Amino acid sequence: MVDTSTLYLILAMAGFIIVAVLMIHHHNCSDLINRKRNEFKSISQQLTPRIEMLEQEIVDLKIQIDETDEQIDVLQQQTQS
Amino acid sequence: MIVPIIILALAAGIFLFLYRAISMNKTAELNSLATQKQTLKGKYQFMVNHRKELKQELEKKEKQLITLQNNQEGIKTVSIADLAAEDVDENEKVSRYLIQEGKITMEQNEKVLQKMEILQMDYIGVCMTLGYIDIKTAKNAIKINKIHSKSEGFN
Repeated sequence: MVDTSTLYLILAMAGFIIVAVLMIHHHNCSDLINRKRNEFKSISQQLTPRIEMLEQEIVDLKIQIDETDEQIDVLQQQTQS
Repeated sequence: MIVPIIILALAAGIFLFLYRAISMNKTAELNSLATQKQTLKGKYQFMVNHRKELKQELEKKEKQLITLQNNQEGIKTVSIADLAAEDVDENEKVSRYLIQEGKITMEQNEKVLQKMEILQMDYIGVCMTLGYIDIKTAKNAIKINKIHSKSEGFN
């Protein structure tokens, strides 16, 4: 049978191993999260200016469509009258 | 003997709890990032599709407008005499023909003229590269131009 001091020594060692495993797991998880965050950040940096540009283009196109609509209406009224 | 076993059981319990907490936190963070990424990509895709639809709508309306203008002023087609104007070069003749036929808009014409210098191509080539006209229209435009050239030769 193991005596008490040996048992406590084994317990202490188990405690160290548990802490080490937890630290490694935490480190791995943080690393993965950071990688994914950077990936998202780079995609966001690429897409945000493009989205802004597209928004501007869409606004311009809508204005052009409105103007064309007005011109068409005027011409149609002239044709009818 | 009982005390160490209790301590060991407690340590194992704490270990499992912490391990699970870390894993759950990681999963939650990754899911959140994936959702944000998906949202951003979805927004971009939506904008691209919306712009495409608007461009098509604008093109359609411009053609409608040109048709209306032509109907009001009487249908104008480019005659050989028109094309024979001495001060007009080949590209201008083709551009006038395409605009009056309603194949391209004034804005597209301006874009083509700008791109001609950059791409170092002729008018029809740039129009086809930008996808404004198809090969049939290009052939028609070339044909009209050739007819004009021949008529100039006879003169």
